[in-house]
Amino acid sequence: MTKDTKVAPYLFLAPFLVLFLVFTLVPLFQSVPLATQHTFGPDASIDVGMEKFSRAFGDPRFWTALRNTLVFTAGSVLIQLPVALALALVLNRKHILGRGVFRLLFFSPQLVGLVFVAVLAMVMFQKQKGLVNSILAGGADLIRGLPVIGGWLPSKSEILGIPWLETLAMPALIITALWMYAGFNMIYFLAALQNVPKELEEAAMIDGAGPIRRFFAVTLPSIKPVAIFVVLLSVIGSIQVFELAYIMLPEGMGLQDSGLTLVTYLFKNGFEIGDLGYATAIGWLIAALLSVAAITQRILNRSEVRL
Amino acid sequence: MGQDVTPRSSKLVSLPLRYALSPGVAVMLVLSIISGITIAFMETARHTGELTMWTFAKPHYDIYVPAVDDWNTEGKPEVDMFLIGRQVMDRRMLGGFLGEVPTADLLEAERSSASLTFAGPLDAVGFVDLTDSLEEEGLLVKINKPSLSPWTYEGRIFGIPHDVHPVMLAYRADIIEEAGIDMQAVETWDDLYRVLRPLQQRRSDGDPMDRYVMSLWDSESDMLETLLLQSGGGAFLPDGTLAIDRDINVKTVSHMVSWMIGPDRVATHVPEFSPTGDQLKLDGHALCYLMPDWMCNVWRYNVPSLEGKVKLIPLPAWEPGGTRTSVWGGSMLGIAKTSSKQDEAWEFAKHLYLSEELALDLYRSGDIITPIREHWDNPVFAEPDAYFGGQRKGLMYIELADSVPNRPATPYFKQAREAVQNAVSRTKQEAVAQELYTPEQIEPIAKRNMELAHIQVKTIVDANAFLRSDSEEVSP
Repeated sequence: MTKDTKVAPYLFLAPFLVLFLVFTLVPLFQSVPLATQHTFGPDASIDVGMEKFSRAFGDPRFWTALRNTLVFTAGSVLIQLPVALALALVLNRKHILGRGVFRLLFFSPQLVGLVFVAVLAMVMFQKQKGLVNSILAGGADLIRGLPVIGGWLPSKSEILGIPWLETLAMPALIITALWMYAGFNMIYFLAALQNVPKELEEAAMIDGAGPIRRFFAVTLPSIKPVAIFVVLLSVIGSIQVFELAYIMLPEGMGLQDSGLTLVTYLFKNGFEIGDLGYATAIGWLIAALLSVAAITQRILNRSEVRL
Repeated sequence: MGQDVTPRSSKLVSLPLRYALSPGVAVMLVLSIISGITIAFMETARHTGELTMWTFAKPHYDIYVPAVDDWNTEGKPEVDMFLIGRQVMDRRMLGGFLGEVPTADLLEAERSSASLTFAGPLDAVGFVDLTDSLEEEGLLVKINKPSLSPWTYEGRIFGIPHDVHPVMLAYRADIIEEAGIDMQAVETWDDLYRVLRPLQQRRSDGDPMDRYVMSLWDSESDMLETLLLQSGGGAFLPDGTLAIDRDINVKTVSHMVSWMIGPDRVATHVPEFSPTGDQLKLDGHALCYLMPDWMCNVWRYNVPSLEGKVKLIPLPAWEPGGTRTSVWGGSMLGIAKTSSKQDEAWEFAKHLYLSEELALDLYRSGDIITPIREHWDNPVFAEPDAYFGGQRKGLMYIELADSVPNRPATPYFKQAREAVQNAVSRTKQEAVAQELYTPEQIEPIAKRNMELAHIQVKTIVDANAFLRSDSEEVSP
């Protein structure tokens, strides 16, 4: 082995390792004592032991934030991923006209970025003049004349006043995340679908399997590793949701904490209240939650390999 | 172990360095070097002066430029002024103060930013205590007293106020006066709703838009706080004690909620700082709006076509003879303790904030009334304002400046404001569900929700170990 072959890997790893050490590992270790202190700078810290952690467990707002985060996560996984897979299945067909354009359209929210999408969504979900309520009100007007439904429908003023960003924050966030990430996940599924062995599909077809049977018996098992990976990504990303809520909702959380998420609560405690200890404790609890998600994915992956 | 059984990954690791510089890697390397050099030589903000100042508001920055230039040409310690986003400034300011690393010498901070620095012990506040300097130089009497309150923590003053921000009621004069209604006769909120309710309309074929008397909603926490302060309430007592659940707050919330719901609803939501809100203003969706002095400027630029169609009156009082104004917003100029030139910074702060020229520019360019009382006699404030139907708006605001409510400096005002907002929202929701629409009917619901809000914020306050008598500080 020559000298440069020995040095090369370390040389290439060095920039990452230095940054990881300085900006991740050191703060991570420093955050352990921080979570046991009430602090206002290095010269003003009071040791409070495990109080910050016990406070979290007795804090109703922490549980509200956790519940909202899990609802958002469930919405992301249970709505977003089937939609992404459906889009991928449709756009994987060779005979779809303008297939490339549709792929670009669905992926385009990723190109413009999260902040742009969140600002647009905020405008669309506004009361009175927002696009969403205007479409709903227009749709309601079309069916208002029908005998049973027409009487049941709320007035146009009530529909235009639906408070998406105030007390219906979670549906608004889930719909926006669907718009933002469905195209992104679609790309993973498209890549996976293109690797599904054609001979298996053809064999199933010869055996008389219909499209639904072929999907569940051939396609889905073939893309399962990618699907599990996408689920993990979505779960981790959803548990860390912050920017969407922070930009879209009043005070970053809507009214009555309807859109308060764990990371928003961490941010508010750390940077609006100045309780860095409590924010750090919440950070560790989020880390624990993410670890559970990651370990579950590994277990699922192992069982996949055994299969 | 033989070479043939070496794992694939090890083979990759043992690639010689020259293979790493493939054409692709070489292109990326060249690009990164070029961009690095470009960034290194890019012109950045000039920083040559002896003092630095941060401000968060573009209008403030533009107004200060001539004053800073004047100062710099007088041979005094040169000042570099920087415009920094408010949230960025919050992070850098708090980070600097907590870490005791240099920030700017002078920081202009909005109320929610400055209050962050009051979360620790008094001696850990990152701003210089200006109380003695203000007293010794006779400046305290020159400044409108209520305007000092948000910057006064435990009896010590940490900033010079930038503004007063009294609040009046703006109304659509074109619609209201056409209906023959004299707004000067309105003294209380009850009067207002009694005389303007006939002008409300519901969307129908003839009326393309709902119309309500007042722009007020539970999602606008600033508006709720403004009205609570006007009624003599507020989340905190003057000494900073948390008091969300006091009776005056419960009564005020009950009234505000009664305005937003039921068959006699008189309030609607017209968001500020939003194109939707601007369009609703143009449509006349609401007839009346809370209008702090600075908001006049926002309207002037965002809805210019309402020029001459809007007029002002003092806020209607909660009771006959009651307070006719409130307060909304506020900024201060403070000096960082980490500054090595605190005396020079103090001289510059006085030059900038106390000068008559700046006071006049603040009003001309920003519609903001200075807190320096000796400038209030200037004829500029008596000039008719075409946007507000030729009213002498400056004088009207100045007449209310003494009555602006005090707001104690507390790091928890934002949490209290959010908790009150949630209490109002819950009260509204529960009252609608139970079909209770009068203030008297709503009051028990409001009381319960305000008590819950009080407990929620008290939990946050109690978690501050610096406020406990038995706490012991640990060394860094």
